[in-house]
Amino acid sequence: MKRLFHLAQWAALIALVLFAWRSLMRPIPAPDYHPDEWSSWRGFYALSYAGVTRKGGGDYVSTAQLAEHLHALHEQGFKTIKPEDVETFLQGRAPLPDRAVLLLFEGGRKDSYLAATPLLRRFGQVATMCVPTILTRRWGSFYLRTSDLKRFARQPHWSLASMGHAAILPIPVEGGAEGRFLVQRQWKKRQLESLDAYRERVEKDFAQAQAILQHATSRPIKLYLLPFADAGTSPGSIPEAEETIRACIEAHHRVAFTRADDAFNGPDSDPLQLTRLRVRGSWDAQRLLQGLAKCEPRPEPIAGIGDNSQWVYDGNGFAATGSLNLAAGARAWARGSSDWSDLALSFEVNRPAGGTAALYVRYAGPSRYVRLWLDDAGLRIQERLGSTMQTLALQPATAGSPTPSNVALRTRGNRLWVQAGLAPPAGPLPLSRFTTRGRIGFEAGATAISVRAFSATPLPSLVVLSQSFRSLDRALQDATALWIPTWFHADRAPEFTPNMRSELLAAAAQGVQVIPRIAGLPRPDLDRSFAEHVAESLSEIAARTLITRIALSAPDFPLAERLRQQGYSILFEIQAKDAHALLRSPHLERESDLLLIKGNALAVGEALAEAEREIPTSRLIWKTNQELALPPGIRRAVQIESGEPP
Amino acid sequence: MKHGLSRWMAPVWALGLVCDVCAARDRGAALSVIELIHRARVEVGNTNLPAARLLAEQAVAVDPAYADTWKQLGRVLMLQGHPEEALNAIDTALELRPDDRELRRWRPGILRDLGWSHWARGERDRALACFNEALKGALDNREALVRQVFALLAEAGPREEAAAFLKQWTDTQTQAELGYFFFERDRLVAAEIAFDTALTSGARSASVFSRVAFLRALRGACEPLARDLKSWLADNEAFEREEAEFLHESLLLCAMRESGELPQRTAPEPTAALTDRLERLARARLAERDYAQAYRLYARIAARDPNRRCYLRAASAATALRGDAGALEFLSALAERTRDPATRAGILGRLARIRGEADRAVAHYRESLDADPKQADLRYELFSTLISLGRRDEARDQLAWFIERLKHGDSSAQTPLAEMWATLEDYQGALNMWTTLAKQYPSSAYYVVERARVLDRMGRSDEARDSLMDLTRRSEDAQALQLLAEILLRQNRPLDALDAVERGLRIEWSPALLRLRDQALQRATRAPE
Repeated sequence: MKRLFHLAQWAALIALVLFAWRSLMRPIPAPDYHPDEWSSWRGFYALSYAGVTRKGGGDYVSTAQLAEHLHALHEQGFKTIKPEDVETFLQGRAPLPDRAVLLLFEGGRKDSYLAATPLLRRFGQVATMCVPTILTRRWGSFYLRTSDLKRFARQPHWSLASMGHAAILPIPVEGGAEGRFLVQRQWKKRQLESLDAYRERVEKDFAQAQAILQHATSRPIKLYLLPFADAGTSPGSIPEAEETIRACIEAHHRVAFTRADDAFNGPDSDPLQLTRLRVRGSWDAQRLLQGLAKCEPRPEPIAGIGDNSQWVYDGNGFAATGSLNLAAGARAWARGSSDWSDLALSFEVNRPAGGTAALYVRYAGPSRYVRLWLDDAGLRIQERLGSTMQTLALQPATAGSPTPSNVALRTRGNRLWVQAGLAPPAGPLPLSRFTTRGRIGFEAGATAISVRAFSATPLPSLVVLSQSFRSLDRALQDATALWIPTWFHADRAPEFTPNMRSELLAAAAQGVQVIPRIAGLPRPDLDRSFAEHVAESLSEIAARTLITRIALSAPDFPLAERLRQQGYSILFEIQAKDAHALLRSPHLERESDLLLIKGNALAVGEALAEAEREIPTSRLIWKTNQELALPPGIRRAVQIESGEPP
Repeated sequence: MKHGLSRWMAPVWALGLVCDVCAARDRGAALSVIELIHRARVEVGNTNLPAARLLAEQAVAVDPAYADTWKQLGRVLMLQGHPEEALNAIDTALELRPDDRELRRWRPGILRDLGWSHWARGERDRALACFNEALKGALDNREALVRQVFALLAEAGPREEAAAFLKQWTDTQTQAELGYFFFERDRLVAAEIAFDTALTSGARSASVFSRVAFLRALRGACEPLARDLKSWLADNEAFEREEAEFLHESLLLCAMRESGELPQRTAPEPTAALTDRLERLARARLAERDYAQAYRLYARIAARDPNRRCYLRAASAATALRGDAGALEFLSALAERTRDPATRAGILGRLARIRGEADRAVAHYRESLDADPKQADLRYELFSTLISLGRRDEARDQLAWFIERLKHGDSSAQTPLAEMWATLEDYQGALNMWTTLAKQYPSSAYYVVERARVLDRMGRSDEARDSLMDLTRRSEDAQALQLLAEILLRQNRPLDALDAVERGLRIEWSPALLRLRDQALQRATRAPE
């Protein structure tokens, strides 16, 4: 009996050792992460979790909820990505998976890590832990510690990001209150710190966090997640905060999430002003997917107000019976409009006396947008640039002509037109190069408002090859985003004539980008100074500013290189059959070149399919005069023979 | 949505006026075009035009396809006095926004300024093209431009061009009004062309006829006057008194005796107004060294009013024309007729000086000045006479009188003072005064020449030479070329001197220039430059 007991003991011990050995030696499953297979240039979603706790609640999700979320994402085909993927994507260097999502866990909490890791492994996903590094030095096991970070860096399912060092902690501010670290000046030694001291403190916080994380991971941390999504534009921020924060982010990181108002980031998003969706503790998987669906970009026009599913609300609002109703102080964003740029829009607003209503377009965060502001004083067209609000035009209300209620608006490139009521249209008004794309939304001021008769249509983005812009008919001009005139020929000395200048100004005044084309290529014997002469002929101030790219009628790499040396980007016009070779060529600048591909539809389709795995679809153009259904993001070029040569 | 530019500038819209967060202007990585334009406007308001220009240029560099950037740049350039660049900017702005009313209003003004700029550089055709283009637009105060350009064309010639310009931009009534305008200001060439143009356009009034007759007589165009007189008289029977006097004076100036054809056979009593006018004209002719015309007019003045105090100038004209004998004859005859003691004493003094009796001349001059101490010309004459006698201290007393006059704001004392200082070898005082005068009257070659003369005497020949070269590049003046040749010869540049002399001789044949030519030729053949 005793012997049997000993045997049992040995058996149990051996079993235990075997179990431990198996557990330790079992390989961690590799994440489902295959950049080579990715080919989408649409954009990516970003979700952030404040934390994962056992029971959840408040801002935190429970482990079970997280499991449900990750499972749902997996089931719906979402593929998780890493911070470096975001960087290369936004640089136009590499595509993403079709439904890319960046998972962010805020706060550097160990419980989030412990709860999420097995789930990530189970679903083959990757995530990013955003760490306020001051917490890594605290006693206890609640936050990841410095020693954990080193282990963390070796985990295939995790990446690290910075949330600053002490930026999440409150600071004493004037009046004995607590303030926000990054956006307010500290009360120290019975006085307010100087501006220089403020800037130094903020800069030091970024640098310190980067140093700690870099020490742990042996590589620079690319991503920064701005605590409280406060980029220095919130009430109470000092005026210098926005610029200071931006400068520090730029100095220490490559991508930054500074907003939390949308899940989707398109290919033209500012890498330093990205947005993520904060996942609430109360959300189940369905609610999460709904939240993502609301942010999904929609290319199709919006006709009418629709129902509540068409709007994302900040504050109280509802859509019913063709009317969008907003309570005082509320905002409503048109679903999926975050990547909209050129558009035509109209609406009618019902605003009580004393109330204000605002329309936002190209809203890319609180510091970048275009706004139409309607109140009893009249209509203002404004552009927000950082901390500066600029009024582009003003239509004051008068006794005989009150503020209009029906407004139409159109944007194309860096131009804006507005027509309000019976007044003559305003425009073209100049927009800055920073306000390029963003959401459409409405805001109610001190009183409730309702919006009716709303429609918004993305403008066609046609590429037109013709000799004269002015002789194009009006509709074609309006549809044109990019105009390519043949101004130069390899056989002739380049010359920029007064008529070309007039054409250039006429097109640019309508927000159309102009790319002069050099014909007669390739020419192996072309004079080496030809590119210099082109640049010289375009040295007049209007041409110098407005022309940044030259189109080559065929790939001519030496000429392209010399034009690049003169500061120009290149558009290559190629036959579909030559696309493969060009895409493999080291002479193609993948981060900037445009490709205009021509040939029969089948060949072009194949060439484009190959090309979009290499360069963003926004840089691909299909030259065809036929009305074809083009792959998403790819533009169509048409050749117009009419028009006087310059 | 209709977004034509044509309706954009309606007044209900106010473009880019407001910077809502002006306190925050210095922040932000890059300034938008609206902000740059706004700042440029502010700097224009502060009259800091260089800063405004810089900002406007930055705005253009940021968004050259936005009309307001060029508009603002054009405005600043316009204010800075760069009309050519301003016009380019405004034309670009108009290309981008053809219906901008403000731009349309500015353009003619810029063209006008550009026209003046071309004119100043001697680019007459380009200037005229600009003026004509400006007048096609809605130019503020266009009458002034027509008047100014017409006067310039009239005085620079040819007459036909001036007449054609006037006809293009004015109606008959305006042409006649311009004739009166210039007539009253003694701008005789312009007045005559304007009246002639009015006449050919149908303004055949006695008032116009009589003035045209007078103007022709003044410039010695007696033959055309005689030719047209009959038909003019046939057109008009009634002549006002002033018109009759113009006609009579015209016949007398032309030494025509057909006064019987005039409506009033007896000559009207000479009026002081017309005599004053003749004296002003005679003085102007004398200043331009047109001695024949000057003497002719002084002769008429003496005939109309022998008491006039212009006998010294008349004598200068007579001397220049016919030598001392001519002056003696003129003054002797005048002395017989004058009844004014001051005038008579002055004439006697001048006669004495011509005859070489300087002491006696001084006594007569003092007598005249006792009778009327305000005779500036006579005082200067007394000064010169005293200098010739070596009585410099007494001469200085006369200088003091002029200084006193200048202190009391009499600017006519400036020229004699400058000349007196130069005579007394107080070159710094003379230089200061000539410099002031040259700045006050930039179109007058005389002051530049005299200033250069003083500089030369002060040993600053290079400065004198440069100022004369600058002057002679802009306008041909015999005195300037003569002085320039003298300096160049002294500086051992005989070929340049010869060039200056040749140019001078093309304007005026003078013994001094001939002498200089000989010297230059001799030196040029001796030593190569």
